[in-house]
Amino acid sequence: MAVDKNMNVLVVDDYQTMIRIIKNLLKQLGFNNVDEATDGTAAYELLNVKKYGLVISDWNMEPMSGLELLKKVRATGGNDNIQKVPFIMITAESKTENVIAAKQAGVNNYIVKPFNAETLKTKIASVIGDF
Amino acid sequence: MPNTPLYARGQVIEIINSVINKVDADKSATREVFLHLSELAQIIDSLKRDISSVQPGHVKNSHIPDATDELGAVVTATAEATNKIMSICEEIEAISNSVEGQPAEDIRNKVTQIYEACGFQDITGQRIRNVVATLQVIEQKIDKIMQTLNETVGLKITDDKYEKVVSVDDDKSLLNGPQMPDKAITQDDIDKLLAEFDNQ
Repeated sequence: MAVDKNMNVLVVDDYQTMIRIIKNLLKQLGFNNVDEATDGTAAYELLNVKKYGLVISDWNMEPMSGLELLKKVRATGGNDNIQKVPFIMITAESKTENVIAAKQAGVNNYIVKPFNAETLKTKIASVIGDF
Repeated sequence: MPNTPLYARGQVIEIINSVINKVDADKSATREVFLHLSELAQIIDSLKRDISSVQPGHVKNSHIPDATDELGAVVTATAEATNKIMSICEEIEAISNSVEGQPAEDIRNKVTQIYEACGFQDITGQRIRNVVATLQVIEQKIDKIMQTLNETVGLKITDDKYEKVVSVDDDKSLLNGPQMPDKAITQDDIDKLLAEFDNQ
């Protein structure tokens, strides 16, 4: 199935600079409907009011971290749009334990910072399909 | 807090010497113990002087807060610079739309590489946040040590802030690097100051 580049993408990061970088890279990849949130709580509120085709989230945020958001998303019963949303973690947390914890929580892919545009494209494609 | 009274260095040594003199005559073993105690008192006294000379109050009240402020300024400055770079990149990207063929593609590729490089701000920001957290731990430890020393050996540590004296006659004191925005004088201030010299 072809990837709909008009789908909504949610970028979650507490660093405005990083949000801007990811949004620009996504724009270059053809994704123009990109929303942003600065922590897990704000992101979860957006997920409840809009259908997203992809969530790209940082880990280290306050008050709700990316891992907590991921767990909450996967634990959302009765709403497949939220519970099954493709979720990519982009973080500087690069210990094996972090990757394992994220995988156990249901992450679809994991990108370690700093990253490049090619890595972002490859990981998104591995989660939602080639585009 | 112990209720025992606090004594000055001289008083402690005087008391110990007095006790030593009293027991000197009869029990040599006891005398030896008191000699050791006397030595110990002198060591404690020396230690108190050493700790005072390090001025832990200044470290806690001036050096650590200054270092934290400087690190905060680094984060702010790099964030501003990064946003400016990205704004210019976005403008270049927009201009590239008016160019056709390979040059347009080349420009977009270069802009992408700049976006990628701008990720440094996020990484350095997180590292600096970790350093600030470490400084806070050190500050708490110093606080605890100061409190303990005050309670146990009566070491009084001043709580005043350290103000570095900057003098036009001391070249070394003039080297302080970039100032915090609220302390720095503006280019206008500098121009006015120089003009005052010229008008003299």
